[in-house]
Amino acid sequence: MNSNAYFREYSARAASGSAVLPRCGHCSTVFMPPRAACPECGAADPGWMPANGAAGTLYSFTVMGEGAQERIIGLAELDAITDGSKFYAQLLCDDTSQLTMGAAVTVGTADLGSGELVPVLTLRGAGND
Amino acid sequence: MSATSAPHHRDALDIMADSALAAVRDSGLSLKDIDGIFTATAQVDLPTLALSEHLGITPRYLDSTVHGGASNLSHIHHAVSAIRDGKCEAALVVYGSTQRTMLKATGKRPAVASCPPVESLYNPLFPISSYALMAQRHMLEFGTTRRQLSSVAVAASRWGALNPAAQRRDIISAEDVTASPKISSPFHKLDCCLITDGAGAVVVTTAQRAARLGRAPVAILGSGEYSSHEGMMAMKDLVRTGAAVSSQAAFAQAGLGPADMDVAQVYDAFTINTILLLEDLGFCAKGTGGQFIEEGHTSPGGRLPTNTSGGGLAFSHPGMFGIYTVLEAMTQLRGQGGDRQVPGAAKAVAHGIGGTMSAHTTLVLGG
Repeated sequence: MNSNAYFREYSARAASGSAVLPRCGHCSTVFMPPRAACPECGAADPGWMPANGAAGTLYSFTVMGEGAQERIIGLAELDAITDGSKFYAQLLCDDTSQLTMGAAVTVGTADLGSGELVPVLTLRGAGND
Repeated sequence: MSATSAPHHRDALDIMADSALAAVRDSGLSLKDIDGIFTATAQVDLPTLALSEHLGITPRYLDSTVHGGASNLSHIHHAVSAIRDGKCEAALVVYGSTQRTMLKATGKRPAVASCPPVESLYNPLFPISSYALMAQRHMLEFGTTRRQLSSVAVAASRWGALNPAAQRRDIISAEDVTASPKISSPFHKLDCCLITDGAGAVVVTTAQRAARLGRAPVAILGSGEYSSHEGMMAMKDLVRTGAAVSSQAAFAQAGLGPADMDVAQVYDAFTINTILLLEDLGFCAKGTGGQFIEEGHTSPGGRLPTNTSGGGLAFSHPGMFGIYTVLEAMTQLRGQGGDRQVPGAAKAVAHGIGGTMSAHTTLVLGG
């Protein structure tokens, strides 16, 4: 895997309960994934903004496994992200029939079984608020 | 390095050498004429050096560009520049993989790509889930149907049935696709490519030298390369790919357009690929690829015979399928397609992708 310092920081902050998004200190562009330079202006070493509770809409999704093994990956357009890039995370949702384009989602953190908190998306709606 | 010593065992380097020797023989050149080496593989360390020494080549141009399944098309794109620049005159482009053998022997499949870091936090089925996200978005945005996705695999199987070298020779139905195990929605198993061993090689040289050799050369009329992202987050539009950029460059250089193509060979690792790539190469309007394929236009007898080998879905998929898009285009342009020959095929487009629709290379070829 192509691990790097920005990914490790992103994961470490989530592990401590703070989901974050990279934000350029120069032009304020907010983007994903974390990386060494702002994709918009090229400034090096972008900073971070808090993302717990960040809102957005579902852009696409895929469901793997069935029953207790079911897992959903969601790709979301977050209001906070300004360059058109997407937020990728496991999507917590009790009812896959609610998975539609544009469904409201929020960012948080959860332990998905690894013993560590990771960023997640939650579908806003019946049973998921 | 492989540890096996079974009597019929072939390592990746063995089948790469077999392909290289066959391609050089086919070209009318000798190994001693080869002065450029271009190769990518997940299984040979320092592959340009290992393969060159193995074949007794001392190249003055070396390129081991690796960006997944577009690599070998990029090698050809790069070889054109190197040859035009006088840096080499006879370039050998080689691929090989024994991933199926390795998977059976060790339970692990050698690969050049790994899941990007943030995505890896969720242990997705990489790369299947990435393409599944594209397929789901295409369905949401354009109304592409599950049956239209299936029609891609059905068309591939109809071509594979005509290809004696195809791994899959049986013609499947749309119902077979949705009856196969669910993998990562909307994909079922038969939406996904085969896992095979395989190798291939191409010799690139000047038009003048090729004409002197007189071995039915295929002309490289245009080529283009492009990348906009590696992973899914930086792919800003999941249903509009970099193929639009690379193909525009290739078609412009060739002075031709999609309407001039007699056959199309596009990298079909998953059913959505053929839909996205035919749209972005300009063969049908954005959003209508599923309908185009379901109507039969890409099938045997259709107006745009596509993936006439059976493609990655029915013919073979040895990790990086790119070289086979080129080899099948050449087969068609040389009239060597046997039962699957497209009558009078004179112009072809070959398109390779790497990563998760991340790297794109287009070649426009002429007979």
